[in-house]
Amino acid sequence: MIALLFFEVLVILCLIAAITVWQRPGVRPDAGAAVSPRVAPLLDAERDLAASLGVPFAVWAAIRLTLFALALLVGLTSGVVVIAVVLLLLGTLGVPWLVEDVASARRSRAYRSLVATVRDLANGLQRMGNLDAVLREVAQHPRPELRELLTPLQTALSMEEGLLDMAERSRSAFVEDVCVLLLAGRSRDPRELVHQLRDQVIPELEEDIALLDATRAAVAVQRRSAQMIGAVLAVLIGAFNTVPVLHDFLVSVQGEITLVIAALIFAGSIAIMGTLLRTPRPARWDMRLVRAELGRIGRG
Amino acid sequence: MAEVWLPSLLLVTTAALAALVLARSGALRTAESASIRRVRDRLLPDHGRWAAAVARNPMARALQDRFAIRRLQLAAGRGDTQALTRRVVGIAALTVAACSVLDGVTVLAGDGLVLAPALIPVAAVVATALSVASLQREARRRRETASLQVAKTLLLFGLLRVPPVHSPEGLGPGDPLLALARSMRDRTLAEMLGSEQWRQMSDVQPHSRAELLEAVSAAYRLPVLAQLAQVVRAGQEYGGGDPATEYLAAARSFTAQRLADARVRLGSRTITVLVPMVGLLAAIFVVIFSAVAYASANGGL
Repeated sequence: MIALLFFEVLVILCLIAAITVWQRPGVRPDAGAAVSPRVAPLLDAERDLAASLGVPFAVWAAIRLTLFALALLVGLTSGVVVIAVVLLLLGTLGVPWLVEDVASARRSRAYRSLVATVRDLANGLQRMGNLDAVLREVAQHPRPELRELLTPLQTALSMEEGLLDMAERSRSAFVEDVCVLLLAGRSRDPRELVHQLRDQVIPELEEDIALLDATRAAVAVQRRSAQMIGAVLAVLIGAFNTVPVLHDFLVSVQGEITLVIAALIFAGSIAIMGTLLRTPRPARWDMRLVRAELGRIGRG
Repeated sequence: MAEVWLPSLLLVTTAALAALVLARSGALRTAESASIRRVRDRLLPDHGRWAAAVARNPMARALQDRFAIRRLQLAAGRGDTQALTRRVVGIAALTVAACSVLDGVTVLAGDGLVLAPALIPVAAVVATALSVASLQREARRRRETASLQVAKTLLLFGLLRVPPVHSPEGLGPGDPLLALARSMRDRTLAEMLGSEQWRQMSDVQPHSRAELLEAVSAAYRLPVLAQLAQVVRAGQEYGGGDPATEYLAAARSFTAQRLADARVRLGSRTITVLVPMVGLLAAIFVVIFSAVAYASANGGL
């Protein structure tokens, strides 16, 4: 019995680990020098998710711990080992999958606000003729979605440092792109920059957002369907657990094997869906390096 | 005991074939003899009717590209030109050897053949195909990443009004394209542009910056670099329109193309993804039917 349970736990853990490794992007060379290279990408992913949800990392860590404890509690009270294991996995590795839609919707709103802010910048630049001054003015009255993001522009000693801080704080390829474009634009003629921003850069950014939204919509539909079916399965198993004969089934060897098979089919289907709808990971800048290069190229 | 001979014969035949493939592909040649051979091939090209037919047909060219191992290796950033041949032959030989040894052991133990001899070469072919498929996948991933990275730089060339490369001689650290590629967290594009390995796949000696970009684009199969080359040619070498506007327009064109491709791809996969969706429902039915069967066998609900 113990050996069987151990085997089941091992199979589920291996499957989830395989899916996690499969779905996760490759290790970034610069990721977290202070922690182990294997842990750094996981921590980075958690920081990215926390930033996307607009939650400080410490709060996010507390939420994750609470969810883990809750899953453990519900799992133990169910009295079925496989259910306890599945709940624990859901409370740890499953959380990013559950909240990703909320995070991406929030990101999309922030990106749209950012593009609107760039449009404000172009208007302000035409009026004032100084990008740094316009940046500071825009940062003083940010849109609600950008309040946190634009804080560095209010407090930084120089706009260059402010843009770098903003990019690093965002943990987003799109915001980094906007910051890099603004860093490059600082050395240009303001009148020419206004035309470039209006005619080319803003439409380009809007198309970027349209691309992100198209992908997000397709993934969200599938993920929501999977979540609904998963919820139905959870209610079903919960109801079974209240009927004595079916509870006996769930705690029997046959029942546990059935649950493991159902979990494997479910997780496998989600993995296949993820693979079918996967999109290339956006390229990200190393902000410190790109600042140095922009300075050199701009002078050249 | 006669059954031991079949796997052994298969093993020896595979080893002989592996040696032949290695020798033919140049994996056993020294670097000097390999480059002499390459120069000879260039001076005396062997363009038969088959090669001409392939060159004329776009589908045949696409198919040839799909299995052009050297190009795939170059794009995937994996080893020298002979590395994959050695690896594939090694994997095939190892698979055959492992299966043959297994069969040999079971025959000597008196349990007969575990694997039918006909299945052993099939296993070797599958192992080889998986190795090539992994190379194709990695090459595709790196091409996608590099294309996105080039596209990111287009806007900057427009804003900064600088050309991506300074000289047709080659890409150096002072060229804005390489400098910006090195400023990205993912080193794919920087590795592609920073090494001179693209010259292995190109006989062209670039006379202009546009030709240089086209040669690199052709070597790695990166269409966005060819697009960049067109902008360089139109804007700076033929004295066309404003180069800054051209770079920015090229960036928009690339994004619009990606958006259109994504819509088509996601639209087609909306149907494909219904297949795993059935798997999710199957999980529910597995639980229900098993529970009903158990309850029936134990006196009902």
